[in-house]
Formats: sequence, C-alpha cells, structure tokens
Amino acid sequence: MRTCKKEISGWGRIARGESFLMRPERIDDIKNQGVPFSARGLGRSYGDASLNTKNHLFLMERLNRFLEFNPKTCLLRAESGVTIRDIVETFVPKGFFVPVTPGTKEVTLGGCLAADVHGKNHHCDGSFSDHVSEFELYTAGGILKKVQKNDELFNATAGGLGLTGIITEITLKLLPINSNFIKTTHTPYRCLDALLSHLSEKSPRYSVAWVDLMSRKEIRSIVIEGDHLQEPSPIKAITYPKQFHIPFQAPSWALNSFSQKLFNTLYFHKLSLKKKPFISSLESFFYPLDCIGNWNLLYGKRGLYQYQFVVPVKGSSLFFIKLFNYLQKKRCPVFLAVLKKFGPENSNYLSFPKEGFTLAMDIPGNTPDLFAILDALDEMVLENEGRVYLAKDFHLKPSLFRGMYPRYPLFQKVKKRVDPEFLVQTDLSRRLGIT
Amino acid sequence: MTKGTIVILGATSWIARGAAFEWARRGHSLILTSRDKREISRIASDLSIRFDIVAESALFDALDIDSHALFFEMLEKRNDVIEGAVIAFGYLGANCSKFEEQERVIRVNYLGAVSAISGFSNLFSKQKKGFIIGISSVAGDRGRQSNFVYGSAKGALNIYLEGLRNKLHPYGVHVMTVKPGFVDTAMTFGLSGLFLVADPFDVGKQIVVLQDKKKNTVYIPGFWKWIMMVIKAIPETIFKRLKL
Repeated sequence: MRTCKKEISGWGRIARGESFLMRPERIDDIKNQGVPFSARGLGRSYGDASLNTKNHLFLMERLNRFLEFNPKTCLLRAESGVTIRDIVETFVPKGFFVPVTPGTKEVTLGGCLAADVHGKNHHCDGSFSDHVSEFELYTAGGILKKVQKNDELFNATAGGLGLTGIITEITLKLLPINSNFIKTTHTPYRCLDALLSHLSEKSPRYSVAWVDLMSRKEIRSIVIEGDHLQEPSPIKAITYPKQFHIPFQAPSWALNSFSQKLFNTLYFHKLSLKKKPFISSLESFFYPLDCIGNWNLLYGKRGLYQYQFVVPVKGSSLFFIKLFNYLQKKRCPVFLAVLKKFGPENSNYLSFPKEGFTLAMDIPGNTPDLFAILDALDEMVLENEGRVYLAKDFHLKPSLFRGMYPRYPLFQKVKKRVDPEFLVQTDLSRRLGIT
Repeated sequence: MTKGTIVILGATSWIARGAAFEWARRGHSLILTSRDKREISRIASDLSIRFDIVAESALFDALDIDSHALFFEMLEKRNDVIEGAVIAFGYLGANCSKFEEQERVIRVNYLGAVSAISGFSNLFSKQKKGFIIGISSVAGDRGRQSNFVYGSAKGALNIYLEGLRNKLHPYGVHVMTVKPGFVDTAMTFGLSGLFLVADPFDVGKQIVVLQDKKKNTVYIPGFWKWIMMVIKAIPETIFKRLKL
C-alpha cells in the first residue's frame, strides 16, 4: 500500500505533526509493519489523540461499508470508517437515528468508540459505547479479534483513544424514531445557580446549555432541551445542501473578543425570543455547525483550544465561580461555552463522562500564557475530583492524568496483554506516558 | 417501469463504487464482481443497505478467461433485463521491466477486458439494447516511459471500444469509453506531483450522467481533454526527451 508523508493536525490546529499516512481500502490492507502505528478517522479530536508523529497512521475514511442491518433488533454492523453522516443520511429516512451523537456528523464510528463520545442525552442514554454490543479490533499481534461487551478488552478499547489496536468493525444499536423533528424548548437564565439547578432536575432526553462567558456583568445562558417528536409524522428523505467550505484560513483577528461579545448578545436575545416549545429539524438541533465543513479555519493560524472537563455536582457552583473568576483575572477569552449534566459513568477504563457537570470552552490558540492557564485549570479540576476530556486534550501532565483517571492501571494491564511491544501509539499516548 | 440491472466488473474500485452509488440511488439492481469474494460481498451489502436495492455479488477474474463463458451463461439465464455493463477492472503493474509483469498487465487490461466486453456485446446485440462502459485511461493516449505497458493495453482497448461502438450502433447498443485523469484512488494516493486530483465519487457519478447523454469518448474531469490535446500535440522529437 502506498505511503504518504504529510503534516496533519488535530481539529484545533494547534497540535501538529508529520506522519507516514496510509489509506486502506480493505481491512486486509491494515498491516503491522513493526513500526509504531495508530488509526485516524476524520481528525475531529481537537488535540493530539489522532496524531502519530514520525510513525505510521492508517486513515480509516475509506473503510466505510455498512455490512448488516436488522430493522427488528435495530442492530447495525458497519466498518469503523462509516460516519455519523452516513448513518443519518441512510437511516433517518428509514426511521432510525444514532443513539448518541456528538455535535458533528463528520466523525467515524471508530472515532466515536475510541473517544467514547457523549451527546446531549448522556443523562438519559449514557455514552456511545453503551450502545455498542460488539466490535472487531486489529491488534498489534496482527489478528482481528471480535470483542464482546463485558470483556475487559471492550472496557479498555471503548474510550481507550485507539491505543489497544485499530477498531475495524462496530455493531451499534440504532434508535427507532417516529419523526425527523425535535420538539425543542429554550429557557434563558441570567444566573448560574438557577441554571445549575435547572440542569440537575429531571430533564428531557436531550439537554444542554449554551453559556455566555464573554459578558462581565452576568452569566447568561440558554438551556436547550428537546426530544424526538413522538406523534408519527412522515419522515421525508432530507436533501442535504452541499456543505460550505471556507476556501482559506481566516485572519486571526476575524474572530475577536468584540465580535464574540456581539455575537453572544445577539444569540442570547434571538434564542430567548422563543418562549414556547417549537419544532426544529434534526439537522439544526444536533448539527448547527455542520453547514460549514471546516469552521475551525475561522480561528485562523492561531487555532483553538477546546477545554472540556467534568466535576461532580457537589460543590460545582462554587467551583464554576472560582473558575470563571480565574479566567477573567487571566484575561482568557472563552468564545463559546457549553454546559451539560452527565449521568453516571460506565465501566470503561478511560471513558470521560462521569456523574456531574461538564463544561466545554473554546479558547483562541493565541491567548497569552494559554498553557500555564490550562495547567492551573487542570489542578483545579483534579482538586475537585473532576477530569478533563482526553479527546480534546493537548497539554495534560502525566501525573494529573493518572489522578483524574483512577482506573488507568486496569487499562494498562490490558494494554500490556494485547500490545506487549507497545506498537500502538499516538502523540497523546507518548505525552501522557501511557505505556 | 422497473429499472434494469447493471453489471459492474471490478466493482471494488472507488470509481466503480461511485458509479454504483449513483445507479443505486436511482433504484437500479446491481451485479457486482471482483476476484476478491469477501470485499465484493461487503460492497454489495453496503449498497443494498444504503439504497434498499438488490445488489448481488459474483466472482469474476479478468485473468481467468476460460471462466468468462460460464459467467455469461449465468447472465443469459437470468429473468431480469440487463441494462448495461461497466468494465472497471484494471491493473497498473508494479515492476514492468520484467516480461511476466508486462504480460499480466496486458492480460488484465486488454485481453481480460476484451473477453468481458465481447460477452456483453453478444448479450446486448441479441436483446437489441444496452450499454457498455469501458473504463480506460489517459495513459492510453500517448506512450510515456513511466507507464507505457499499461498505456499500450489501454490504448488498444480504446481502439477496440471505438470499433465496437461503430459495429453495435445499428443494434441500438451504446459503447462509451471513459478516460479518467488523476483520481484520488489507492493507485495515486501519496504520489507527488499530481495536480487537480478528482474525487472518485464525483468521477463515478459523472460516468452515469454522461452515459445518459450517450457520449462516446469522455475525459473525466472534462479539462483533461485539453491537457491531453496538448500532450498529444507535442512533436515526437521533443516528447522523447521529456520526463513525464
């Protein structure tokens, strides 16, 4: 198979590295050649989870075949390069949806399982791997292994950031839906405690809050909630407008504190206008950013850092105030912030979600002392028994990682068993000292 | 009206898969072949799940010419109408300084293709309708030191298709020659010096659209017509000194 030496980056465009890329078109093309290797899907992880500088990297995008679907059991078996877009386009017209979806369709199933992604419904339905019954893994030993739920290799691979091998096939249970519309409600808040208590209550299947951290006076937020419309309505095949791609990288000043303040104010007032529940399309409810294929270029050359962490509910109010004050003191701009309540954690060793509040913040990459600020945030998060999301991470220190993920020794045990020579590596695994 | 079945030989290629997507989207049934049984059945299940169509898979080895008669017997026995066929298999060859490799390149790209095409030619001239699409290459337009063995087979195929088009025209059977330029496939992945590499799915879709229009010989993407016109116009005394 042909190899291509090329520099690639994480979605935040701060983490970069030159690798030897290979693009298999059949599963048998994946071969361990005695050099450290790993897989990459569509490269939507913000940090260095999908990079493997100076080593072999298998691009999984062409292994995207649906293999089997049973409408009675809702079980779909597909190759790991199949994307959420493929599933939405194929199965929504048939009356099925992905059980858990991140905020973009441009991710592969393999990536979803490796990062054990969550969606707006984590408090109800758990994370992605909770809907995966089985998968196939190419291990460093050169064999394809079928891995079932309850196997410790399952727990190490789901959320394991691709470090146990290359996920080649996934069996996922789809969600039957009656309609391709979402009944949505918007609830505006101007106070953090009210927001947190709203999110802690029993909420509909999908629930998330957009938070404005640019305003100095108050913390404005909108809780966005929804569920699939239950009344059967004809599901029409959706015609997808061709994605808009930004032809070049925007100058770094294109998005700035002033423009974001303005945007946030307008956005807050626009969303607050909708007082009554209303109907929105799947597309606009789940994937508002997907109309621009490469929105990360809007940040320009500096790139962006998305920092996401989770902290337990207890003491979270005080924690958030402390955190926001710190960011303000450090003049660290947060262009976009999203808050959500997680349900209980699952049994995977390195999965991110656990019971509590999770906050994701988009910070421009040229913020002065960004990494020093992030280090301080990491300390605060760990102190509060929280953890940061490795799929977005690009700076966490090995010692803090071990504190945040107490089940790491269990992961390590499995890793040693399936990959005794530590051939499956990524930039992230080397940075965190995962061996 | 039910839509006819389309046969794609060498359907594991990404260009073929792109064309298959387009036909499947329109509701045609498909018969897909390859010499890799596992791969072709995966591609067939994918198409039938995505588009709710009947996609069958079958084995077809271009090199095993003796087996082709059996394949066409099987096609003739079917009850459905075979509407068209695409010959999409090809073999670029690895080290063409050895005769064995040259022979293999010519066997797959010319002899294998001719055997398959003549099978379809018999089938379609009997039913007095149908189309044959031969996926050739711009490499067949002029011999270059880097791939002239492959190019010579494709060039011969071009002439064969041209003659057949002439012969089958009275029978209402259309023959289209497709010459793809640089397409983003496993053959070209990571090659340096390529420009304006086309997406194989776009190329596949265009093949279907151009067949609707009953085009004869097409370059895809279309601008390759002009590039090849320039390349063909270079006098041999100069061309032989170039490193293309």
